[in-house]
Amino acid sequence: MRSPATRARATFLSAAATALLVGAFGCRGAVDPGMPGATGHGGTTGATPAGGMPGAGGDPGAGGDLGAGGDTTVAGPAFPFEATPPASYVAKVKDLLTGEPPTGAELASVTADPKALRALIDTWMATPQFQTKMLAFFKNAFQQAQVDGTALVDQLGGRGLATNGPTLQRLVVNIQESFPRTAWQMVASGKPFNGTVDTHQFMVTTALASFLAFMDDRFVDDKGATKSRWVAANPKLTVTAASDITSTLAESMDPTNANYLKVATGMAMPNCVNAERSFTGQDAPFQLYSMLMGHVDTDKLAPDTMTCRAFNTTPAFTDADFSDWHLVTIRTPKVLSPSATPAATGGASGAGGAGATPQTPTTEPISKFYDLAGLRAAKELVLSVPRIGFFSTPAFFANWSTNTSNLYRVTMNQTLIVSLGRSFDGSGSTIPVSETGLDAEHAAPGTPCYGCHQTLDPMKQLITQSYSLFYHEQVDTKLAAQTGVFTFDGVSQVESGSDALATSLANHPDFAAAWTQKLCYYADSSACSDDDPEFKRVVGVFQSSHLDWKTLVRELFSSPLVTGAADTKTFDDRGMPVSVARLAHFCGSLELRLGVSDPCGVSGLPGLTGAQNAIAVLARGLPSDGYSRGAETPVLPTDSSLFFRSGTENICRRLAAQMVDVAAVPAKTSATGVMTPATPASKYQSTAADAAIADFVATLMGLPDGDPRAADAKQILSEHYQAALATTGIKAKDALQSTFVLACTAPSTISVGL
Amino acid sequence: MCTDQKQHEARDLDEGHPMNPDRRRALMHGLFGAGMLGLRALATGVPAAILANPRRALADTDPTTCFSNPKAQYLILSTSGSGDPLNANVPGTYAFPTIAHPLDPLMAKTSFKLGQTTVEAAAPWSTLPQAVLDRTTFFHHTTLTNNHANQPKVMRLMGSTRRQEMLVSFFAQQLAPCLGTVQHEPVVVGASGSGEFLVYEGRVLPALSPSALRDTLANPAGPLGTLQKLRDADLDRLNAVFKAHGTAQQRGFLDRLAQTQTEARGISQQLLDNLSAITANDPTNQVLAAVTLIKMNVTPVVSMHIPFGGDNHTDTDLAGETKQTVAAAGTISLLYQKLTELGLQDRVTFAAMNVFGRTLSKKGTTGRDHLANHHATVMFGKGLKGGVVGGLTPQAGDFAALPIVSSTGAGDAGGDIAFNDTLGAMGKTLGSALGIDPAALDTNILTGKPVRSALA
Repeated sequence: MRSPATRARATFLSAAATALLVGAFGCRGAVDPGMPGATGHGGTTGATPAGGMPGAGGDPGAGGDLGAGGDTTVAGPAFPFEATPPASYVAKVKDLLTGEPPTGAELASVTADPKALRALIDTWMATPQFQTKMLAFFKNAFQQAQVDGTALVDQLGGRGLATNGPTLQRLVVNIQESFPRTAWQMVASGKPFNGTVDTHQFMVTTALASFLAFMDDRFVDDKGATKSRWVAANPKLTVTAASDITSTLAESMDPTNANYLKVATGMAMPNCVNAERSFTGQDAPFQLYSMLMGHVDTDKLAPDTMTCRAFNTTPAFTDADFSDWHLVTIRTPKVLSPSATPAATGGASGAGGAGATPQTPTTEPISKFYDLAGLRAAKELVLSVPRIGFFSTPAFFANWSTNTSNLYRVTMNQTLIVSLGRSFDGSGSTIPVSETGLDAEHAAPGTPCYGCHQTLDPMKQLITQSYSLFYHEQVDTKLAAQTGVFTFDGVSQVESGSDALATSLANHPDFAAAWTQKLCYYADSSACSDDDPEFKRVVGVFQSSHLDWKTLVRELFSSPLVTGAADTKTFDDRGMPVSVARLAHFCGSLELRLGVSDPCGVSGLPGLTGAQNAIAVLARGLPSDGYSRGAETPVLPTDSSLFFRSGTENICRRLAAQMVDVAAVPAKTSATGVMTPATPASKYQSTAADAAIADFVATLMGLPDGDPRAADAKQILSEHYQAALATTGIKAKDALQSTFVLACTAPSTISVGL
Repeated sequence: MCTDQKQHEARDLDEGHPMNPDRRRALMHGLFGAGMLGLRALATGVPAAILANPRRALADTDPTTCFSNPKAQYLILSTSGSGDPLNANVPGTYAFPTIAHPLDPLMAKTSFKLGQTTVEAAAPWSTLPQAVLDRTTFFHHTTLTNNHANQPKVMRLMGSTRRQEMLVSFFAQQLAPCLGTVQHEPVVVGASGSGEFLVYEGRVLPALSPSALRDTLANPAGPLGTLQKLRDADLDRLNAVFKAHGTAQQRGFLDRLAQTQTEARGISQQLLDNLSAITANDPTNQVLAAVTLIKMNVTPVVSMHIPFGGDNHTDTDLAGETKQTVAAAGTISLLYQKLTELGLQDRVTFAAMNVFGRTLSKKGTTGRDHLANHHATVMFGKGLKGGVVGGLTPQAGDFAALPIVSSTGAGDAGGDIAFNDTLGAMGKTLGSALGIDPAALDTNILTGKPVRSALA
């Protein structure tokens, strides 16, 4: 056995002392408006790298725990090794990778031979549930979440999208899912995972492709002014919504058609005598996009404020346009020969095509946002905004807006955090080959912030060279020509543009360790120790597999770093934490184990049922995975609270009403011809209480046959059911619902790692 | 470490006497499952930020340090991305005959006292309790925008906050360690749209509607309520099974789970009564949710939405403005009543600040358009004196906020707080009233200066 206490104590005290010492001389306290939002209190008290500290609130008689507020200077093991039993770690690994409970056979195989876990992981990785889990992980890890319509306003030049509501909801989900799906596509096809940093290929839907093209047409300069490329080429562009025509969208977009740029509303204009309303100039493309999204704006010539108001229509996008995920290559327009024009190349013409850019009239036309048929089939999008890797997506940019004071520092810092798991903190020892771009105002040599800015400022120039402040393409030739220097952890070289930045990040020697660490956080809600030989071994395997993601998953999840089946330095440093099941895990498991689609109503999609909405209200209060500005570590709350306890209990109560003794309803057609599909009987019936209770234990609680806790749990649930039945006024349905709530709030159901 | 932390920890906001150690420990666990960093920080003396992230914390300020101010206040902020005509009927707007006001008698010009100052404003303002008026400041300023979509930017004082932190998030960072709240982040109980969501350290905070708070903490009724004790007992038995087979850390986790179960059953009847009185998500119910969250010492800042007329471009006779302003005054009075009932009237500051003000004269009484140049933030609390800061001047066919003389609070074209800095000055004045360290205010709010004459 090792002597973990000494090592852990030394490590911890050393880190703390160093932190305090360096803190005295670092950037702390400096007035630094330009810094990229450093961690603050790092995700606050919710960020819990050591979720489950020794003995805090623990069982004093449990042995091995320190008392609350324990004195770490007392000799003795802080985390004496205690092997986690197979029943715990098999359930943990399968839950994290699929959301499903382990089977008795799976548990038996690992109990007999722990090496069997590797093969099981391969099996689990082949399920669609694994994809679902990874998409959720990627969304946070690549910082593509936390987006809504408001967050996109900057990139749209200060104007929010006008839609019929549900289309915006679907689009926002698309925007957030695009890059996770891109990463998944690489994983599924076995491509090196560092391709996520420098890829030019993205998963898009038709609706998202259209949005990207629309945003691209709507160039926003550094002062926030918008200028449509289409209108620049056609200053008198006019788009008309018409209720008196029946043309298709394709006909409306055909310059040879009589109804060119007239969009049929498919319905009369409400409270308006005019059959048409037109929009001109810079407003025209915006209004056309709104019509595609199912919204017609107020008539600018309305006679008063009561008539001819805005209204919703059937969108041009179909449901399939929001779900037809496909891979496209996104590239910037080619420069055409001086004599060529967009018209000459067959692109959008002066008759109305979204063609020449305001700055470079001889470039290839960008993709047309209104050409839905073309976008559905497109394998390539031509866009002026460079789209490279995770850090150039509308979602990432929406998360990390910049301004004239920040000047891309937040963008660069978050890009570094995602790529390499590190933030600019002034502690780097690599000297940049050039300090061009260093902000002299608050980063002169000798000042507290010099350490940060001497690497950050020249490096963020690489983003400056490619993007405007509102994340459109950089058109300022002076800014584009500034020298950029990539400097991080042993690498320093002069570069140019976001492509070069992406390449340097993707090929950086720290990439493999950074993503192993991110996955470690996902598995344990806590960091693995960087200096743990087992951690280094896993990183090495990932590296030597050419960064194959599934190899990393297999290696890490079968490692004692995650299972806790054997001693590691990581265990010595922080034990094997147990966490509450955060929102995605809890609701994801409920969905799979109960067979109910999106039971918590957290998909973000429109059309939720009343039951889903009721639970969504509660679910939004549950702890969830997240990230924070400037923080290297994800925000992963691990501890229970009275709100978590009450929230999960009330979610389970509402689910009980759906899951127990609900009769089947046959399909029916109303007098007006509206079809209501049949709904099956609920999964659990009090007439088969024993079977229900057996399933509560094995499926909902995740305790299969062979789990040493299963028999006791089944007995307790059975006795609860019987005692409830014996209670005055309680019917069999009530008793089984209460038993369901008991199982649904049981420790193994609402936690990860038991 | 917070110099006042121990005294704040010993204060039980719920009961008014020293806090039960278990309850205190439980609260430290955090609303959304916060970790044990607070306790660990207490045990080691190392700030939680460093424990959470030693590498990154080196280059950062330490917002978990309380700046030794016993005057620290909780904040309830009302904000509206609709740009309600909050600015239209407040003291200062009755000095100009060309400013349009609703003609409804409910909004009649009324004289009343703000502390020692006699002012004239629409009647609803005069209906606030005198105890509120004596500590209410009407602060005239610009928000530098007339765009709804800029609501999040106005919350960042249009680029004048350090690291683009929202004003109230910065306040929360500063106040949480002084107040010993469960979490540092503000809680949003009344966002009317995503534009009113708050962002803290780059994280969009979830909105917790009043009904969600009620539903989360509510005890079940009906058969499941009848069986709750039986279920609790059997849950204890399940915990025992898991503990019997668990490792030390698993046992520790199970103990904390059981502890929170006990807390959930131990919420005071007064708070449960408050929660059960929640019937909807309107301003009245937002008040109940806000005071409950503060009473439970969950957060230093709660955001809500009190409408004062909404986006009233079309508002014949300003009828909507009248109706909602009257209701808003009632809501503010109710807030003060609830704070008083819970003994919080001297612990909580209230402010109402929107994305922009609305035109005062241009459309007469048929409605109001967006106005970037003038807004009025209303704030009351123990740290404030009754009075008016700043003023208006005719400009470009409508009105604009005047520069401000920082020593007197008077609006004056030659004031040392320039027009563009009045938004920052409002933020610094509110921060000062909340008891935030002046140096921290100067570091984190890059424009303006506090108006000392407004401070108690």
